[in-house]
Amino acid sequence: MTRIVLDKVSKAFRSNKILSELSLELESGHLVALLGPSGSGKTTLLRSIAGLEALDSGAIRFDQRDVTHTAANARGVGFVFQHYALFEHMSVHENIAFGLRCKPRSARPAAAEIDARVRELLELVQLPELGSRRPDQLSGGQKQRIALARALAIKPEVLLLDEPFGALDARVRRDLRSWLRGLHDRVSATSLFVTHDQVEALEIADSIVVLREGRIEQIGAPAELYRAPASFFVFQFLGECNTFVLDGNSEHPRIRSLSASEMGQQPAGAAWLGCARPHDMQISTEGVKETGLSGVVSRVHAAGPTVRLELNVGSAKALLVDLSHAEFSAKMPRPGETWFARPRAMQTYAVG
Amino acid sequence: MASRPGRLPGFPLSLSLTLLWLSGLVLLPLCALLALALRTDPATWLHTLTEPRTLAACRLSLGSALLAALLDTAAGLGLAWALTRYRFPLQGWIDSTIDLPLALPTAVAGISLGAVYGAKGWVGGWLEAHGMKVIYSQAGIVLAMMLVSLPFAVRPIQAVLRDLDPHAEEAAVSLGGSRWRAFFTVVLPALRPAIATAFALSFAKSVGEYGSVIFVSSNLPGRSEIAPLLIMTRLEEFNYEAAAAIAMLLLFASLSVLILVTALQVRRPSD
Amino acid sequence: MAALAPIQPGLRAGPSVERPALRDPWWFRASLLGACALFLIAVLALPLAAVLVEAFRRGIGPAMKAWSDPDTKAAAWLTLRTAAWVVPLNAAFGIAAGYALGKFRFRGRTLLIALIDLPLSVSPVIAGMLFVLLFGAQGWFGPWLRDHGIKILFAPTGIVLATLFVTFPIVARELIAVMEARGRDQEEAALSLGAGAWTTFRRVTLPSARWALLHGIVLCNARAMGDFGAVSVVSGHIRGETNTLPLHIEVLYGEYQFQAAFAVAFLLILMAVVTIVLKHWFELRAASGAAEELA
Repeated sequence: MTRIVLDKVSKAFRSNKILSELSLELESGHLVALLGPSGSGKTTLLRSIAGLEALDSGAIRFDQRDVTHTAANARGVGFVFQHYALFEHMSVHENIAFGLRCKPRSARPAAAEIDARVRELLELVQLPELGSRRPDQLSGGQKQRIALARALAIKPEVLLLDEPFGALDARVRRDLRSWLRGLHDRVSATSLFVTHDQVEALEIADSIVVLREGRIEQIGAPAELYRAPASFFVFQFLGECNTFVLDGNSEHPRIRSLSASEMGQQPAGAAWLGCARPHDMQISTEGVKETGLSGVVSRVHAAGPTVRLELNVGSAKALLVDLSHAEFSAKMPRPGETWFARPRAMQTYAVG
Repeated sequence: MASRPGRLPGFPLSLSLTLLWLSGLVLLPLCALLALALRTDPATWLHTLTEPRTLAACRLSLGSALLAALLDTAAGLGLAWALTRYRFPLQGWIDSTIDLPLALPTAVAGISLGAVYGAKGWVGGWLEAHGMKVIYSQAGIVLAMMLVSLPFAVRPIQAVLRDLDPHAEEAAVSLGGSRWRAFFTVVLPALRPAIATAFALSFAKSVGEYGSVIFVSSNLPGRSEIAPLLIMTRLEEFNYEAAAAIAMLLLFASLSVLILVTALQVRRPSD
Repeated sequence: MAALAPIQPGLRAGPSVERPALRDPWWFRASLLGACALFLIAVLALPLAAVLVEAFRRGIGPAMKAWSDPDTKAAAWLTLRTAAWVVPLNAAFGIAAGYALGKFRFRGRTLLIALIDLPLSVSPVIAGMLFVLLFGAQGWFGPWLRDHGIKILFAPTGIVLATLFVTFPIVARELIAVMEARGRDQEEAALSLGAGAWTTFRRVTLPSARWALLHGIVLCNARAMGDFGAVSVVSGHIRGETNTLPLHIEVLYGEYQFQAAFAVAFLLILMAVVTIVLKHWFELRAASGAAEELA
């Protein structure tokens, strides 16, 4: 189990800064998610740790070993690609055995031992009968599991996964996601996976690194990140939110209006922003101005685990409120009615 | 071979081998031609290129190549259409046959045309009886050029047609257009670059064609002598300057057509 | 240059079959198919059939006599020897070029690819001429060669060189295209698993390009055996010594030995047909590989 340390790593491509003096220490044995929008540098970071990208400056260490200038084939890192990168011309068995067969004579296990290990790994990924198949005969989910088995065959200290489920459809993705968590617990390598899907990260990671434009926005356990996002960006990125333009400050926030800015953009002309999740909103027939907003119900969507209300509060965006079914039945808001909505809990952020 | 992070190994070795082979085998010989051409004084150039025999040969090669390329491109369009859009027996085999001229020695192509269209040929006899001379006329030359350039005319068009999104055409038809309209507004614009490529490649191939043509032509200087044959003759006469001058002209013709077509394609980016 | 796409991976179903809105009217289809059939018959089928028939018109005996003629045998032997040199050399070069230009991006790449394509636009006669300018008596190396008693022109060596020039781009273009299409993923996977550079190349890069390589090799071979213009210029037409099969056909034809010429041509047609059959098969194998990529 290896501790990964990144020390002020930077990489630029042409005039584009992909990673800016990024420093990071990852606990050994953890399953860590690298989360961020496209262009945040997460894939470049992952590939740099694997040795598939060269850094302009900075250092990478595995425990005490400095691997900054070590070639990819000497780092002892297992890498799982988004599009599997299985060797098409080899059988599944040969794919998994590849890393072991490549070892120099002195370090190479006997053929029988290699075969045994391959079978063991096929059992681990729950595909024991597929050894003689070819990659083109497998489904996407199966291919990804074989790719994982192949990476694990060399007993890597570090396991890196590049959007491992990005190429799969939603249901397979959900199933494999929790399966990966189970597998990680059994295998105990330090694992790092890249994703742009916050639900995925929140669900299975031990800790999440949120990246934005080559810099770290926040690191923490999923619950902590979700409950107390350090910045407006993280709040927005991790889930749905109502963004309020505030008069006043974080001590005495006064809600002025609902911001209509797009995801990732900060609204102009505001000094403070307040963010609240839809399920942290409550509705009443009346309320104190500046603690919430009054609006006309435009949509009621009751076919789900919660009831979603959309309120027209005079902004280009609708105010989103998620009510439990119990609360909904108690209050029965209907389209066309005017209701007052206020956040039970709100995070405030200074703008700029 | 040392590898570094971020780079696949083997680049320096493979690039050096490539450059070595390319320089020695292609660039060096071409330099010899270039050097000779530059060494030759303009008067000799002019003399060679304007003498009647050269003019006749170039006119024959360029003119026949132009005609052959036009006809082949039209045939290429039709064949590509039929092969992509229709289903008929032995389709796969017929598609493969179109590549045959790529593997067929040009000499064989030439004598096979002679066997069919020559005076004593299968069809030739009948044609000549009706006053149509194929072999030993320009028609024969054009026919030979068409045969050897056929795959170059079909494949570029076929590749684009095959990858064409049928949804765009269906949209045109569902919006009330006729099939013809859909063809002209949706299909043809997408095919234009490919058609131009087909023409350019056929032309470049035909203009330099030698092996198949000399068997179907009477090869009389000033009348039915193609430019490559004239080059060969000049070489045998050790008149290297003249050979080089004609060669440069032919190269110029085929390269400029190719460059023109590529430039046109680059200027209007097609998806 | 959007030149010939080297591999055409199989035919896809014609849309008109599945999409009624795009079906051409029956009379149009009939006429187009008819015209295509006529065209192919007139330009391809009939000529090739004619050679077949004429070669064996008087039975197999005269044909066999033509084949076993010592000059024919010498020509065949020279043709095979030439191909035996040309194909492996250009295949090796093609692999190097495919790797350097297919897996890497660098300034000047486009220019290099265009230069590699150059021999395709050069008339075979001009190709032969280039070597005359280099190795001929008055060529760049002429005097040096003469002083050292080395014969390039009018000898098999010259034929091999001219054929190398002419077939130069064939394998390279296939491999550049396929290596570019495959990308670097598999190589990166192999490296991450601990494979060294040569191991990666040998066990991952080459096998993933094997069908394109074979495809290129058969075409290169056919072209090497069948070249006429370039070889014509450099060979000197010395009967029994520097005549390849295509040149020998010209000799026979010129001596009005038509049947012998057709008999020898038949051999080359056989070679061409086998080439195309193999080529088609390799394309199918490559296509099933390409389909995997999209899964």
